[in-house]
Amino acid sequence: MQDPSWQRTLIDRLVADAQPVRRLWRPEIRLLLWLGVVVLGLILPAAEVLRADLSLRLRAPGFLLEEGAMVVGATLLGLAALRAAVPGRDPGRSTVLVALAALVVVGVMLLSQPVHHGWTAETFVDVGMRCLVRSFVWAALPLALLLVALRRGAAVAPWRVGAMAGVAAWGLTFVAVRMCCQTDELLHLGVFHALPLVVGTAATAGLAPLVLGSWHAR
Amino acid sequence: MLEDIGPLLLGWLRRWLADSADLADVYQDTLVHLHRARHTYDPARPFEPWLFAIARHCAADHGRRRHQRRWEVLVDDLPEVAAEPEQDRPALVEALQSLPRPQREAFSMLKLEGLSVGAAASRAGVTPGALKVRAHRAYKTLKGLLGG
Repeated sequence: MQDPSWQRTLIDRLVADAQPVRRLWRPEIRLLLWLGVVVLGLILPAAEVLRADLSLRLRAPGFLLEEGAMVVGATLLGLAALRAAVPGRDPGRSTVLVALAALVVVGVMLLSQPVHHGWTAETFVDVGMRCLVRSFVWAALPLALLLVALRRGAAVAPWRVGAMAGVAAWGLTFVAVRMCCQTDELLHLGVFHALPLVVGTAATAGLAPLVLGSWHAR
Repeated sequence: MLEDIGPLLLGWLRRWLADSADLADVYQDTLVHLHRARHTYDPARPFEPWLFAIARHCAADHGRRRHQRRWEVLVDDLPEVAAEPEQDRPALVEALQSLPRPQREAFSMLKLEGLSVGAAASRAGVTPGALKVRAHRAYKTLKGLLGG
């Protein structure tokens, strides 16, 4: 290097600036904390509007598989996001693969839903808007909390961390909204349940560099 | 620790960066980023992956910004009016001393002496574009050091 004196001055200055810092807790612990708060935050509003046939649906293997797979996929991607927000920490190949497999299961279960041909456009939108609004409103808490947790780290690939966080937050919201929606129909589920998840995840990934870039020395 | 990792970090960066100015820039950037991300280091895990992940990120970011800079006017955000840092900003003086000499000179000529880019470039014996790049790097580093 050309001029060792500037290196020394820079290092001296950084050392002088160094305040004691609180180390990040392990990603697994932070995930559990996040899940605890999010489950409470989703149960409270969902409990008010649970679908009338929920106890019946929870005995249907297909429904259980769909919701269980989404919970597993979202939780694992939340863990992967928290890991990936630490420099040099791998999100875990097997974690991500299992999560993606779980999401494929969800997709297959959704595609196996019946199509209702009797919708009028007005009814379709009327019924769907409730779910759409719930999706966006209820996702705010899990997403905000997860982003706050991720900002404590130092994401070197923010958009990827954001994408994983998006699926985690919107995925758990998907499950909560499903528990409150009586309509098990392919088009409805695709447009008003799955599409918000996809759009929300894309938006989260797109905004992540802005939200998670605060550790940069710019 | 920052002193101890210097040779390791430089050796690693040299494999990716041929230009010595880029090397100095990314090295400096990496040190500042290491400082900012120090709370994410887990002593129970290996040190090198953490270090090199940050260094790789800084090198990639540097490359990206270098590409973008071709399309930007670099010193638009520098104040036109000359200042007197010695009188009221000892922290700035200290931060200025931490810059590599070419960057420090570019910054001083443009911001402290109030020279035009052309005049400063001819005094430094470089093209106006090169001088803008030096000033921009200096400005960015100072913002990081001074918490701007």
